[in-house]
Amino acid sequence: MDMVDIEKLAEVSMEIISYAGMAKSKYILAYESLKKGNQHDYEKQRKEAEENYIHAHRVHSKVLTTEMETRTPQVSLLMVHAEDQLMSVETIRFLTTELAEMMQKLKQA
Amino acid sequence: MKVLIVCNGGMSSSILMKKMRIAAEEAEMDVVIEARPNSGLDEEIGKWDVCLLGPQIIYALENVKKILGIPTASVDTRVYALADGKKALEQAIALIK
Repeated sequence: MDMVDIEKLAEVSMEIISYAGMAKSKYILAYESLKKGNQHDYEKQRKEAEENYIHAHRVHSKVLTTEMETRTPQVSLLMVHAEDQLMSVETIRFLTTELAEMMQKLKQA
Repeated sequence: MKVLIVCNGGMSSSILMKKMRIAAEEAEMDVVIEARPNSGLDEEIGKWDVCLLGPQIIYALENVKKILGIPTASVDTRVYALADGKKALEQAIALIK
């Protein structure tokens, strides 16, 4: 069985953490813009959030595929932390989307 | 120079901290660098010259600035992803000047 390259794994983890983290920040900033009634900033920040989110997921998928293909577990504490960050972004993405929709509905009512 | 790095849990920022320390050592600079989670920032008031934020926490940039009252900026996503200690250190120095 191949040995796990821990340096490489740390690099990949940092990439996921960094982009997932940026996505989280942008979702929150976007939501705050919407609260202030700034639709333009909301859309811009939300788009940036999505791009970062997709990037983080793409990197993560590559790690998963590598694990499947090589049958070598790609795990380190830092990778676990990276996945935790990804999950947290998913929650924040869902909630800010729901809240934004609710705000639009309230505005129309 | 005293540099504080702040992120969510202090985990990924400790990786950047290590790389920044190496970069400072190579440049023979006298720099203190520590990583902290964003909870309990009140205890850090008055202890640091400059603060860098991880991408996870840039939404709180204005808030951290207000609490610490020192030059504070977010680390570029790519620099953070690569844990580029040299670039991050350069950014910290540029912030103070």
